[in-house]
Amino acid sequence: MNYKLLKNIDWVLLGLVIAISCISLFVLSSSGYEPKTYSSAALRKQAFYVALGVGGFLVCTFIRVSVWKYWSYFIYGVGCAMLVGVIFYGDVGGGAQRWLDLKIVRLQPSEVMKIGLILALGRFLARDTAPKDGYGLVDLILPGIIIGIPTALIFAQPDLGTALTLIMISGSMLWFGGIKKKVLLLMFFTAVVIAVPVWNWGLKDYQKDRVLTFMNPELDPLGKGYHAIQSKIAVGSGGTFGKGYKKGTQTQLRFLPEQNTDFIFSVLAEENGFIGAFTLLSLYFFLILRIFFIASKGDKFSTFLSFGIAAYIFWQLFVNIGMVIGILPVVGITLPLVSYGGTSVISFYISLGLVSSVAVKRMNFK
Amino acid sequence: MKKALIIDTAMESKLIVSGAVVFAFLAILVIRLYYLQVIKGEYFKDLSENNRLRTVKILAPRGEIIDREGRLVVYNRPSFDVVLVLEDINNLDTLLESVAGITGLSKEELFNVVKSRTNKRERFEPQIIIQDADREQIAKLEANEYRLPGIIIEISPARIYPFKSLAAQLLGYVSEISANKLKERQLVGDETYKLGDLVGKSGIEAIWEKELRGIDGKKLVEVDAHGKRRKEVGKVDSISGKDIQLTLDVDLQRAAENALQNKVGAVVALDPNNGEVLALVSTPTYDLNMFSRSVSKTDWQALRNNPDKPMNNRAISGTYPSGSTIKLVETLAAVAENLPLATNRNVCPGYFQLGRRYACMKKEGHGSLNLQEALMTSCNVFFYQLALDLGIDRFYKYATALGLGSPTGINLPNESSGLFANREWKKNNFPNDPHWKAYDILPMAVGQGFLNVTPLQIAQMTATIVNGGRFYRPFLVKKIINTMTGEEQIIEPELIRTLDDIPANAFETVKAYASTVVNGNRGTGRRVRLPGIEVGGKTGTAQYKALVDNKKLNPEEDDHAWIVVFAPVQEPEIVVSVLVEHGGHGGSGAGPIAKQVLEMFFYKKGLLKELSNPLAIEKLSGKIEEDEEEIGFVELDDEL
Repeated sequence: MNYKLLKNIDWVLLGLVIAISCISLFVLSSSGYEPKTYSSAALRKQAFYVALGVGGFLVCTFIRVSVWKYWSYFIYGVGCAMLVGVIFYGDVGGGAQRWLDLKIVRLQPSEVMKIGLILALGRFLARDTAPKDGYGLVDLILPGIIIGIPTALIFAQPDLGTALTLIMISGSMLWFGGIKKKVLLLMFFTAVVIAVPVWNWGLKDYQKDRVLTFMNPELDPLGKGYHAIQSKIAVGSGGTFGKGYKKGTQTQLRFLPEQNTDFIFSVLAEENGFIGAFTLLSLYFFLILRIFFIASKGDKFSTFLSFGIAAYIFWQLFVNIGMVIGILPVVGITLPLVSYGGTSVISFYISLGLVSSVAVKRMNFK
Repeated sequence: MKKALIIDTAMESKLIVSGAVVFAFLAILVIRLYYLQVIKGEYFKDLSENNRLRTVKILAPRGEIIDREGRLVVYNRPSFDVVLVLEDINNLDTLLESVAGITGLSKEELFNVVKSRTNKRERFEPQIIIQDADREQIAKLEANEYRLPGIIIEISPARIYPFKSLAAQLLGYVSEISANKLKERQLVGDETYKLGDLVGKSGIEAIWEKELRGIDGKKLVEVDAHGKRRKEVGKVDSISGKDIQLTLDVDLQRAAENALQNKVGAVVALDPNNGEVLALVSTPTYDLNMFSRSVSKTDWQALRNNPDKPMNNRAISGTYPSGSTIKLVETLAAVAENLPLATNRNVCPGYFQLGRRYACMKKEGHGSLNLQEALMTSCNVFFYQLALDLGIDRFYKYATALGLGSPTGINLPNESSGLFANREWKKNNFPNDPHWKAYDILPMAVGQGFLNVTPLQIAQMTATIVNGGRFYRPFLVKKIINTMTGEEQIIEPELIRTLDDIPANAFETVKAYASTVVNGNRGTGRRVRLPGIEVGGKTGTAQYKALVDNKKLNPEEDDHAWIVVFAPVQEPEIVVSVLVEHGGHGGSGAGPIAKQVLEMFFYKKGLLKELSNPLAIEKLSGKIEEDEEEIGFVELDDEL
């Protein structure tokens, strides 16, 4: 299309993203390895998803941010519609309705929703009429609705992990937009007050159990605490340098559940040790800093958009790794760019493509 | 324009704060990783590489079985097993040598046990080398624990039967599930059973397996380098099986078993008002405790090869000619159908002529009799004529309405249906002589020939007559008790049908006539009279034609003795049927046994002052002989 654009791509951003994807492929080539076929089907598929993701990243890069801004509420609406669709037509996976089968592709609307919400909330917060001295209680009603609808729909699936991520992402964005201190305090107290009835009536038993076993995984080491204990052992046993490629005993003996998806970090930590884990965390840190840097150079909408996506990546990696190493409860959340799975990989690439679009635009259309 | 694009300084500073926050949070993760991987790395490496966390099964205790008054009939005791984990052992040879030296068992034997199961086990799966070890062995092994790496002592629940051989066939036994049965269950998607699991193999234990069986728990334990379990990391408790309350009365059951001692036979006691089985005895019996853990080969062989087949439940699966007890059916039919002989008298000359002579029991003849006198004296000649008048079709109708010829439907395995022939049956079974002949009915008129009954069928038949035509399914389990929740499921009596076609006075007439069998001067059941309680009934003597071991038995001995009694005649509360193989005449061979059961029943109700068999009083109620010291409730997961 246009050579100039290609030259103006933020190569640091793309480089970091691809580096993280390479770690993902490396880990999957070990954890998904099947001795019977001498290959890893997970690796092959993931490579395909990454290729699709890079394509999506580039396509998004070349779409102007103003276009994203224009369609933001529409994308948000589509996301909500799909969530409603899941209620009626969704496939049940793991006891919750999360998948929507569109014949050509099966996808998780909750992942689409994350991007939709970031776009919509970004556009709302970037309004020219936004209160200068921070949001008061009344000002928060509209954004409250924008956040509340998808969160409630996802919570009802039930997918506690994703619902919490949505709240954390949008909370971060609201804070970034500026909220009055009084309101912040008030929100804190209401959260505490609301937590009790939500705990009693809002949560399913297995969700409560997960939180309880997180508090004390030894309560139920064979049932709900099993994931927590086994992944802690896997991570710890990796030591400083790791057990080596394809040598993780916990991994290769399939002690870990969902070791390709939610618990993939434990495979990395077991086989590549503290060094491997630290490398990945550093890459994430630089990636987020780079996004902040890009955010600081854009217009208001671009800044909110970039910040929201940084928050999206950050919270999801923090909750995921926190759960793997036993400092947070076990919730079904993927590790950005690393966990195996098409929807997850592609939606992160697209999100980062939006950031890339911000970066390109800055250079090209100034 | 340019200015509008640049974000304000407040946001810029927020980005810096955000960067710091991200750094701080990631630092938390890094510190935690450093702690887990660098500081505690060796510990976790040990846990992971030596599989130091092991899953151990906690066996769920089976449900207990109690009698109608709540007395424990089957419960659990702790059984100590010596177990080893091959992966924890450096030198199996020397280890087994020490174990052999301590326990006094032979090393070769232990070695063979280990060998026999090695290829079926999973890694780190404990395997039993001494099952149900005695206390002395356990004490010695525990004292030498440090010298025996890889050896563990496990406690698992085993069945105990305080009354030993009481109701053995009825209660049934448990033993390890067979490979075939396991496969069968897995084929239908039942994954709850594993190799080595106990399963009910007969009687109540088999029928109520689903209720009695609990759900095994498991626990995660940390073991040390010698395979010793050091720390319990957590567990999922086992869920005990449900308890079962029987309709059985241990006192009646025992009175009947004592009375039948050294005889081969069966006793059934029913409550005619609801079908509850109060006693169900089959002798000879066997001590269930030999199955407590696993039965020894010699015991098993002896049991299987015993010619008297102690494991057969004669009360439900033994079929015999009914003898004269069938005359109750004929009497009922005669009255209900208004046959001439219901009111007319007939003369017994000592034989009955139809083609050939059929002899009466009394050679010189009974003289002139009416129906009541004929039943009382059990005159065959009178009933030959009565059966001819009745005809096979009506006879069949009444007999089958009272349950003969088909299983009673009691919930126990291997019940026989018995036989009661009709025209159809003859056609199918005698192709050379397919037509029903008048004389075919004559043997049946006195309970021989084309009919066969079980002791339970005779009891059910009599119960239906004396309760006025209500046909109940006999049942053994009153209540299922979930001890974990306290929930109780009560099993209601099942009224299968009521015989509305038969006029009520017919039942009353049979009861009155049957009373004279016991209380009349010439009655054949005189031995069953009780002071102050009116007993009714009917005796029977069934000819047994086969020879045993080619020896001709003396003619008295080759008959089976039958009696069925009920009391009190006005409002019967109990029906007892007794069969004694080769017991001779019904009145003398079976009567005294029925009497002892009745006595116990009314003694417990306070209607009788004494029992004729003083032995029975001594053994009455509650007192259980214990071999060892008393075993209370045992926690089964305390070996850590």
